[in-house]
Amino acid sequence: MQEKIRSIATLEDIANGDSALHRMHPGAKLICLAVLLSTTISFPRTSVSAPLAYLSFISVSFALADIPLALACKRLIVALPFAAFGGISNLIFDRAPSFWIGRIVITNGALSCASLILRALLCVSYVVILMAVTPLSRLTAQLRRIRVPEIFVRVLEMTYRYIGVLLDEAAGLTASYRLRALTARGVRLEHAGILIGGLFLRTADRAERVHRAMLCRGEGSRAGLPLRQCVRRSDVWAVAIVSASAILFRIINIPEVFAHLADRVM
Amino acid sequence: MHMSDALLNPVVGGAMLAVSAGAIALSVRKISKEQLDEGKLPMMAVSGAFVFAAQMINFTIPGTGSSGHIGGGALLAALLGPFPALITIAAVLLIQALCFADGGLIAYGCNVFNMGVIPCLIVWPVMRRVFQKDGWSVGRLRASGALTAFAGLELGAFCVVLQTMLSGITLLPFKPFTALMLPIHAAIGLGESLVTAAVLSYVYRARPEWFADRTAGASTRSLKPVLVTLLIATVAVGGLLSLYASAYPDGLEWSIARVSDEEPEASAPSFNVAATIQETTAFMPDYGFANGADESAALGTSVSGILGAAMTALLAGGAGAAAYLTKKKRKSA
Repeated sequence: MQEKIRSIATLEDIANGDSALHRMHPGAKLICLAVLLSTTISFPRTSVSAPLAYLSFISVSFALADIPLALACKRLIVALPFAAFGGISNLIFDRAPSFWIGRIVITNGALSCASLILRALLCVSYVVILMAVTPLSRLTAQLRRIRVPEIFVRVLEMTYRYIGVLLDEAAGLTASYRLRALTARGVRLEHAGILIGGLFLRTADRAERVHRAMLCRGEGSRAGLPLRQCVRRSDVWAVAIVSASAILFRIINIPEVFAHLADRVM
Repeated sequence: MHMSDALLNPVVGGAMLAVSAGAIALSVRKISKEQLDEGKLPMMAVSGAFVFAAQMINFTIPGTGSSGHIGGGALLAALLGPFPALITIAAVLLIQALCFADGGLIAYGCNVFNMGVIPCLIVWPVMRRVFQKDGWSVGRLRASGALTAFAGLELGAFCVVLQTMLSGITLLPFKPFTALMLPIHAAIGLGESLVTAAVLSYVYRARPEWFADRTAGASTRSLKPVLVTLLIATVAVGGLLSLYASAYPDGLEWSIARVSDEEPEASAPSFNVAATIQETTAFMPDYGFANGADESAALGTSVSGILGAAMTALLAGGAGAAAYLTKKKRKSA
């Protein structure tokens, strides 16, 4: 639990940094993310070489925004198992030979497995970059601007704000439980109901206090003011360049172009 | 059960995003109209944080040696009501996708549907109608919560299978995939349903007034608008997006087909357009070693394909290094 709390705090620290990507308009970042995600997942199942060109977006972003590699690696560990499961199943079920490298047969399944893992890596990295250069408050302000319902945005903001508090509560509860049940490895099934139920009652009490505090701060008298940020010319250029290159990389197979060049040289 | 973006194609991902957005919009409208009293919003938000925290409490599943945690959809539906529960779960899933890489953003629609819409808007209202006829009791609440958790998880797992199959990214045959997913989730669901029942009975005993408030006047609501909205959104978006689905194969696939004298079948108009662009932009349409026989030509094509891929990866990394060095130079200047 402490690890989860630390992970949120680290992400917030990095997101409050200062770089060209941090200064970019959140709307522009969201458009870039949408273009990158949709073009990346639109590749055919066995595409391995063509999506490699998208690594350039990731390497440039990591370099520009000083994002620690460890942050991305931790997120990848969470995301990869499900993609790897799909990939390995392709490895088993599609054994048709695709091509040979010397005497080694590369099957269609191997290609699609590699492609799946590569695309999962790309998609997770895009989101990690977005969150590493954009504080959640700026994202939610942008969601308000594009008319996402206020209730949803406020629940999102407040949930995020109280995760740390509730994780602390849960950590306290489980620590007390462990101290009383020294032999138990986890929480026993018959005790989990009471423990989680107790946590919920504490949650309800906390919500009541939060509500009172909100009323004291003038909640209800006016709608929350969204953070203002002007769209600059550089934002428009960034969207244009990222979108155009993402679409270009999707249409033109860059590794194939290099393969032709290599052929010429050889 | 969080799906990742890489397992979905844009059509399925887009269709499910539209369906889930429709369900969230409907929930927002319902809450704004009828249910949002003064303390509801903080309660929903703190309940979202509660789901995070509750998921950290792992309970041991007897006889298996493994552990599990609650999903939260069924529990929130029973504690908050179906519409606030869906919004809370949707917010939790968005935070999980953004901050913890637990589920993708294109897959967000699928995840909201599988873990939010199914337990909150489909299963729980049915259970409530069956069990709440003469008001709640501990037994009825337990039964409805447990069945919602179990059925919600199983239906969600089945939807994961369907969405993955429709996307066509994995080649797992339908029957074995279903036979794998459902029993695994049945075991998890059994644990979750027991814990959900226990939590509900604990909260009911401690705060019975809570359930009287939550469910007053809510049992006669029709499910038709929800189902009709979801159906229309699926058909409309699925139909529209499928027009733009591309059957354009990968360049590496093309080069492989050249080696084996087989062209992959593709007849969509987008394929022809892409093929024309690719042929125009290619330096040498039929490449390979200049002086080789068939076998060496095949090896040459494979080698140059791999070399091209390696060069792309190197250049992608090089672009990052160049950006870093430029930034460093500017800082020191």
